[in-house]
Amino acid sequence: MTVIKSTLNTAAENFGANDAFYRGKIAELHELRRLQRLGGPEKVRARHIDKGKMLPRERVERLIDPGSPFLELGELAGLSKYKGVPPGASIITGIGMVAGRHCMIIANDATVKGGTYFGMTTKKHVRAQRIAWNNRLPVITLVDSGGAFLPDQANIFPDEGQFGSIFHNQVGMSGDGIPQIAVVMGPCTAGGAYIPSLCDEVVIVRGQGFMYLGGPELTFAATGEQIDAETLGGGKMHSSISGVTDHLAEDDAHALAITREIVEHLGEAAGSRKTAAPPQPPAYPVEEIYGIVSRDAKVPTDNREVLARLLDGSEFHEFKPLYGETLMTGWGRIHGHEIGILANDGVLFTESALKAAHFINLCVQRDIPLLFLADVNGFMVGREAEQAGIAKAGAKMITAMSSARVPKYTVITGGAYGAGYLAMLGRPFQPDAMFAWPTGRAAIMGPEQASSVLAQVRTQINEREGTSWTAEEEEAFKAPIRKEYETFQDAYNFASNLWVDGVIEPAETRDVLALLLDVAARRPKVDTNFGVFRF
Amino acid sequence: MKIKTLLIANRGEIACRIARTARALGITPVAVHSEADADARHVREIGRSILIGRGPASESYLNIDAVLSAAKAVGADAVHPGYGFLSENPAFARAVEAAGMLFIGPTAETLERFGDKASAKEAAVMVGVPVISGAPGVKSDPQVIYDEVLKMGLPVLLKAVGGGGGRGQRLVENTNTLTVDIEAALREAHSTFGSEGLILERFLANARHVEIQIVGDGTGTVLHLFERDCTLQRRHQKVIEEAPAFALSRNITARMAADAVRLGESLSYRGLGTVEFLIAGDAYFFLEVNPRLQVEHPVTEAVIGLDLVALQIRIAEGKGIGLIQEDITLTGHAIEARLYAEDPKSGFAPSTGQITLLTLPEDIRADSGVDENDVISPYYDPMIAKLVVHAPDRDAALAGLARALDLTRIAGVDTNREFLANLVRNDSFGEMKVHTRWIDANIDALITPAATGHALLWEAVAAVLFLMRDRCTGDSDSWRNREIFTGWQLGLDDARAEAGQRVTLSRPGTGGQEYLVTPIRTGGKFVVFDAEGTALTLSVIETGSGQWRITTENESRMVSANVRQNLIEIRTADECHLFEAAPPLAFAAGLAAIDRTLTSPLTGMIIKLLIAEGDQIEAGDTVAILESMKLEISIKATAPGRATNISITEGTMVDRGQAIVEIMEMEEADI
Repeated sequence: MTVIKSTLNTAAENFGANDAFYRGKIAELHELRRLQRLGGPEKVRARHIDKGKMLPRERVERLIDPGSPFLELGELAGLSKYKGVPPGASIITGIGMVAGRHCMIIANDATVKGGTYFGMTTKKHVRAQRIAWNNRLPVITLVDSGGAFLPDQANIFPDEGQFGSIFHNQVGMSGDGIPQIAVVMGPCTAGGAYIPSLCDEVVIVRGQGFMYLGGPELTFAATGEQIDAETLGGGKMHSSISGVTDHLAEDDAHALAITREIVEHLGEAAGSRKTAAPPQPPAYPVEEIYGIVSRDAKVPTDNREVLARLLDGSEFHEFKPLYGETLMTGWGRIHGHEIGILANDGVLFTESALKAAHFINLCVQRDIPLLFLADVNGFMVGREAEQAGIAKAGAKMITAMSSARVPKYTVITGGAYGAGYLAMLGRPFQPDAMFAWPTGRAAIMGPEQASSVLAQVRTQINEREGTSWTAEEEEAFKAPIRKEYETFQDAYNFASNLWVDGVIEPAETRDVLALLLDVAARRPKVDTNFGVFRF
Repeated sequence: MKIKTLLIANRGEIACRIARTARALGITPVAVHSEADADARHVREIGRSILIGRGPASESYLNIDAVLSAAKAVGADAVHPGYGFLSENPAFARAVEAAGMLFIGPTAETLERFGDKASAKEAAVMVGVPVISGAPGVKSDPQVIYDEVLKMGLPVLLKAVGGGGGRGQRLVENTNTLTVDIEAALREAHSTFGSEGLILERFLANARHVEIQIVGDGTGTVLHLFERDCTLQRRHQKVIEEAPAFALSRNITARMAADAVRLGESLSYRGLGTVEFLIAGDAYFFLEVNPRLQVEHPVTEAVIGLDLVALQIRIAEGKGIGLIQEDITLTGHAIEARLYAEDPKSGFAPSTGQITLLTLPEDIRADSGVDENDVISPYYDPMIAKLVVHAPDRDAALAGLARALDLTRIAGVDTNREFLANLVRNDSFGEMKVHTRWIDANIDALITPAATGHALLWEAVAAVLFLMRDRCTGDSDSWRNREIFTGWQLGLDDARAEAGQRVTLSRPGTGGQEYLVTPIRTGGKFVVFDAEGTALTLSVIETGSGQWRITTENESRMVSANVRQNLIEIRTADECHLFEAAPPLAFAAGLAAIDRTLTSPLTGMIIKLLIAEGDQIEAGDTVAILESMKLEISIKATAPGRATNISITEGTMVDRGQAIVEIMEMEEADI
């Protein structure tokens, strides 16, 4: 196979400057992650531990097989959205191995706002369910939640994708034969009680886990009945009288041990449909990506150099290298897993879009997963492009990309704008997983472009109204728009809103993708029915 | 007479050792075993064995009739009794010979003479061997003993007549405890040795124990095979033995040897015997004669280059010793350590159970009667092995033994390995400034584990290796891949204790401690935290099968490692570290929910209440009997504790699920 030949000069000044800039970005990411790993305030964590409970992260770490990886998803959800709340939206979600089986683990963090569900919490829970469903992963929910966060009603109650969808997804997954397990390690009241109730098998911790549609206070208010929590909805009651729960545990560790036993008896897990090659590192150090990715939005990144550092042995079997060369298409491997790659190397032309459609068609035909590396300002505009039918070509690319039912993933490595963001498997096209690098950005258009377009509109209005503005006035008008777009396009804004499943380091991109590709190789093949291509 | 079939009336390492020599001489060895030893190593190794009774030695290895009929059944022409058990039993020797077989050992008369401490002492006195002063004869009246002791002056040693090998001895240093000590000594003499009397001896302080190995042909020729120094004893039990004696004038040893030979000659001694002496200052005193092969015989074999069992057989066959005194010369220095399954931290109590791991050093003599996966049973001496090092001089022998102990790996049972290693490295022992009670006086220091000098390092390596245990090298299954994905998570910058995986590790015989392991990106690099938050960054990379390179900062160590189930062995060229690991939920797996509130399983009437408020009850005890559906149903305690909140009496009607009794945990109840 062809090895990408790097022409990188790591001694160049530009390389050093890019590298320093990127490492600053990585430090920022690590700090955000650290806050998310810690969870709630120290006092609350200490109180949680004093009650004899394990911290939620420790629950997850003890639940999974010793030495196995844990691929966390949506770790920065809710970042900066709520005052005094660490990133993560009071819930931990991720894929881990339990008793040799890949599972989706969803764990409430009771140290953050009592583990309540606010808007981003429900969205993150639902997203984890979606990934589990796509990959047929058993779902283990470690329930320790105060229920709905009432002030955020609009974002949790009425709509699809909100709290009720958690139940809907549980039922749907169960109907598809995907095991649903709950471990009740804390209170679950009202709606929260349905999460375990809708599971196949439920473990509850004595004196710690409670389930009721109405707690003791509500019960008293409603019926005048005075009753303690344990009698009303404790583990013993539910395991011996109501039958709502199936296994009674003495403490968190016991509950997790029982959960592992449950997973051991979920029947046989599906094996991989693929035979991966032995993993191989790229021919060039992955961390050189830091010096390659341009720190200046106006200076394009040499994405071929980036690609050389993401593929096993830097081997890339490129498809149509001479045609539509602003989009690189071809095959390679990531830690042994075969993948078809579409990576931008300039704006999308008619030929690039046609090549993309052709290439996606080939990957679907060959049952090879797709990876989109997005760094594109959009489709080419202008007379020449329109006459060449770029709208038609773009439509073909979008039809192919949208129709493809092979596992497909997106990583925003640079700026992904407008229709380019969408065509490179943007979030609306339901990638199996989507990530951004710390340098990733996406918006309808770039900040400079947006402020210019709006300023132009303003100028036209001014002209109509017979007024004009000075250069200073124009700049004063543009600056806040630029600022707004800069904030919006930031990778962390995307992560906070769960428009991506996480911000990942370039150097760990291979690992994340390999773990996902490995999981996806175990799900049944799904046939693709392409929509009509406009010729 | 040429022996063709030899019955070995013993077990463990000595049975195996005797069999090896027998086979080398063209003799077919046959073993005996108790029910408890059906799968024992001596049975497996010797290959043919006769069942002689149940586990307790008194019902098997000490049963003369059973051993004798085994010997007859296999057509043995000789019986080797080994040491212990029936080896010094004159009745047994007589019975063997009466049955027309050879008894490999001294005559019954000799055994009788030396089996009795008092008569042994008389024999020594008769040929002018110096003895320790004491009251003459055997005493069994406590009052008489009391008076004699006061007359002799303290300290005094009370010795059971039938005792030996250090057992049945009691030191009296204080008149306050004298009465109690006498009673205890008499009781012990009776219960352990079946004898009714005690010998009273002056106790020699700061004495060394040196013994002369003699061999006689039974017709008057007796030679000595030099001495062994067995000064290192714990409560009169030999711990470390060596030959020749160090820092002792050859003049003294020569005189002792001459005395021992003279004593042997006076009885026309047959076979092997050991004449034990105590040395205090420049004087030596006769202690006793052990008329058998000794546990510590390998050190003599090493320095004189002879096989003592072969010598025993030769003499039994009537071929004589075949040597003259001048043929026997000393070469180098040999030291032996007795490795036991015992727990130094609980007073050296025997540690029974399965030996899950046993690796003995290969380049030295290690006489062992157990293999890996064998069980140390409570019935017999819990010896695991004798490690014997022979070197050109004593320093080299000590160093070799220390290394051998370091490279010995045992798991499943507690051992005295570290204690022995501490002894061998001890400066006082190195200079032989020790005496027979030195270990007892310094026991606390000697059982304290020596500092490893690498805080956290080996624990960190073990924790990482444990996480790698079930993972596959070079695997394209990413979730199981060891090199890239062990403990993988989305990265944090450097040593961060916010996330990681936990492993509980313990060195054999110590309590467990939990360690947190966090990988640093890929490349086999990890940070390991201990419970106090101390961190160590290291890389753990396999360089070949079982061979690993451990790197910390700028230091590299090449180690070999073996991880089996929960056991992790790490070996460097000079050290060996053994850990037992527990996965993070190990303590919780298999736990059952315990309900402390007992409820009625059905609606019905309590017809019997068997407990009262505050009663202490055990799990499974019947607490009450319920009559329901024409059945009498026992309501049983689910846990041990104290009964409380009893809400029923006999005749109470109860509902299904109604709480009737609570069981309070004892700690709570007792506060």
